[in-house]
Amino acid sequence: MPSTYTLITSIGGAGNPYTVPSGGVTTATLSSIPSTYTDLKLLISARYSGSSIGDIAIRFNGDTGSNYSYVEGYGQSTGTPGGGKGSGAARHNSIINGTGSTASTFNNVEINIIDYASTSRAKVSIADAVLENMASTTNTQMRIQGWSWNNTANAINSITVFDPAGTNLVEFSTIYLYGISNA
Amino acid sequence: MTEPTLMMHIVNCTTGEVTERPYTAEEIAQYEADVAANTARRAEETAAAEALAALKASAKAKLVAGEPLTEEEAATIVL
Repeated sequence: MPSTYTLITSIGGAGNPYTVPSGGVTTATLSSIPSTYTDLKLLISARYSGSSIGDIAIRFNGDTGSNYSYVEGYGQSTGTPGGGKGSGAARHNSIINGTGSTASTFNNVEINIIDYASTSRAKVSIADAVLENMASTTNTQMRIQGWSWNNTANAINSITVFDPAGTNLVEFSTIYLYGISNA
Repeated sequence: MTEPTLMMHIVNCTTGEVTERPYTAEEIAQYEADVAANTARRAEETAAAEALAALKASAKAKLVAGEPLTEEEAATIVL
């Protein structure tokens, strides 16, 4: 079955309604997401103003309750690979470059949000993230996560992106939200 | 040194309207809770990775020396 991708909105990048200012962004919220698509895809390229490796967290519909459960695995260029499972008040899509990383290097996160408009099932997502850091092999990582927003009643109508380590996403970070329709 | 103002940036996907405003008091409280939770999560993750690496190193050393492994050490190398 063919599918179509539609750019719903973007922050930064060409043709955007909004670009991250030079002072950075603490929290970016994509609101009033139409429920007319089958799935959503979120693409993030970001860097944060903190040192070392940071995190990107996602929250749906502003839900700050402990309603996000996850399983993840990660590997890095040195050190022991790891993984785990748990729950929390947001889903952390680690990882993101910081000031300790190679200059001007941004991470990549791709998140597929399946059946986001369902009003009868929990919403599941799959994310993969890669952090490249040529300055330090210990800070080069990749991470794969699956998680569920355990809300069965409400369609996802907003997505909040923030750094839970308490710093800003820096200028030139980009966020693209696509709607995927089954034709 | 003055802390930077926490700013909320909202893009309305339907209208394209962009809103920028400072955090509300409630959002600041949630932000502080998020930072604390993330710090704890990072510490747990680091501790778990270090503990696993130590177990693996210990298991390897014992294997080389021909010494018996603990069950925990064996679990790090037995598929």
